[in-house]
Amino acid sequence: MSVDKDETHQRLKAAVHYTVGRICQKMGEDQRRRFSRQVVAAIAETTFRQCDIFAKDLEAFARHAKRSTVSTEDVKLAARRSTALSIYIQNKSEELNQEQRDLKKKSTGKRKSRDTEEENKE
Amino acid sequence: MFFQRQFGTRKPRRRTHASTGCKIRACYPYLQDTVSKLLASFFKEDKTRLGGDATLLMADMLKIFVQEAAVRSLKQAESEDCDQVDIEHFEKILPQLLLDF
Repeated sequence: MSVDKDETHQRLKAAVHYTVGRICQKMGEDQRRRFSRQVVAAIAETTFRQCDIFAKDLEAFARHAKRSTVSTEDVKLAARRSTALSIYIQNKSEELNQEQRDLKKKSTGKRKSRDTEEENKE
Repeated sequence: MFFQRQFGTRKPRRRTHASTGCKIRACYPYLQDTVSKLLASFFKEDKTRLGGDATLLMADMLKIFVQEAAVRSLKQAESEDCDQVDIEHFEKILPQLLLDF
């Protein structure tokens, strides 16, 4: 079991390293500076460890609320340390809720028009 | 392509959410699945799951984390007038970064 877990972690670390490399490359292009390979590896490792902290926090918050699924409320709590970050996350989650509501309106609208079309056909 | 090799040939999950989901899906198509697996691998209990919206928000937050680390290191290298961002620049910004998150 632990061997599988190690393998999963290795793969995930590689995936994180790749994405971090891409983000660093994009940021470096704007400023015309390169990131040394050590720095990319260090950022990837730090991100990986920060994920561990986030995951444990999210799990604890969900368990505290007597839930087994992590929700957006837990994520908002996890972002509480920095004011700017927590405001950003709150805005993003409101955006997501708004889009969900718009989608529901669209789908009920389509259903209504489809029903009236069928009625007309009959 | 990289992630596909790692995690098998799964299509990216279809989310019909517009801005947040699309931006992340467009630039990093397999990021959502990777983030979900990544966080799930650290959960202590098996029954804990990650909601869909929560996954998107966490992907955003992790992207911000990486961008913050990169930008702060860049600024540090700039203030020291160096051509390349070296490990010492990252080391200098690391404590404050961890405190901010």
